[in-house]
Amino acid sequence: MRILNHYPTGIANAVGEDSEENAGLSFTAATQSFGALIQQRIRQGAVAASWLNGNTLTCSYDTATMRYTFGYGGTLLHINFSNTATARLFGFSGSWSGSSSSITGDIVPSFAIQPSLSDVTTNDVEGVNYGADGISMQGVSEYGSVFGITRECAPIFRDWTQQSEPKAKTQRLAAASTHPFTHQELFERCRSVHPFVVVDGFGDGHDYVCKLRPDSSMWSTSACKRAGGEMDDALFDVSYNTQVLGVFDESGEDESFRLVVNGFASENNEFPMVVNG
Amino acid sequence: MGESMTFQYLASFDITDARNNFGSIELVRFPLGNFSLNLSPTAFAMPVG
Repeated sequence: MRILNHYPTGIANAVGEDSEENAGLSFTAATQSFGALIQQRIRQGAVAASWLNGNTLTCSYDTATMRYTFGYGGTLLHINFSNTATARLFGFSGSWSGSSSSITGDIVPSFAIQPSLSDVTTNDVEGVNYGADGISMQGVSEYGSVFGITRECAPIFRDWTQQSEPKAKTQRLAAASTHPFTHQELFERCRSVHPFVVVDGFGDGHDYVCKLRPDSSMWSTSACKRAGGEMDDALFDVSYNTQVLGVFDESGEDESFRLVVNGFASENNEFPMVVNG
Repeated sequence: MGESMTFQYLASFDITDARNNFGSIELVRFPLGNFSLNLSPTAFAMPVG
């Protein structure tokens, strides 16, 4: 199984490849973005079909507008998708006809969510990176000596609530045709093993690769709450409790080494410390 | 409560999952010429056809 993503680069560039360090992730992360892969394949197809300037075909994704654009150093007349699922994967509501060298999709692609509000909560630990519990243990003998053991590194967590999301972006069966993916489907597909990218989400100049933590990967009443109380069927608050697996800067460059190494905070010690007091 | 920021999700996905029901994309150029790319659920190599 291989994971692709709507992002300028493959998420494996931020998620380490050390299987032991990435325990709990049952996937092989892609080192190439979906757009780059498609661009490579359509160029091969164009060259094989003897297209003039076949290697000028492009397929690029804009993370700000959340749209794919097909480009060609000539003129395209049609982009035909065999079914709706395929069109939506590229952010098109259907097949396109016209005469252009650059065609941009008209909807948010499948597997991407564009929240309606730009704010996330900063309540308690929400909105900051923090370490897990249970990293250190200590016992005191009856003579007063202290014995302790601690891990020298710990997973980094990050929690937040996406506030007042409309029903169409929250509940799978209420999804709009212009925005086919929902928070519910993200939970159902990602669970605690599939990572997802949070782009420009926290106002710190970084894009995050996160995964839901196992105890928070269910689409439950704690994950999705009615924003306005029990009478509100329009807006929902969605809670994300995640482990940070890696970090990009906003151009897609891997910055994991600045914050996390293979999903874990890095310390100077090479081995778990055993403290004998 | 909130911070002023843009906020987006981009989920990873598995193109080999048959439940996605991905088909093919066909490009047609001026004046003549077309080809199709199959997004095969069983072959990640996505053969050009």
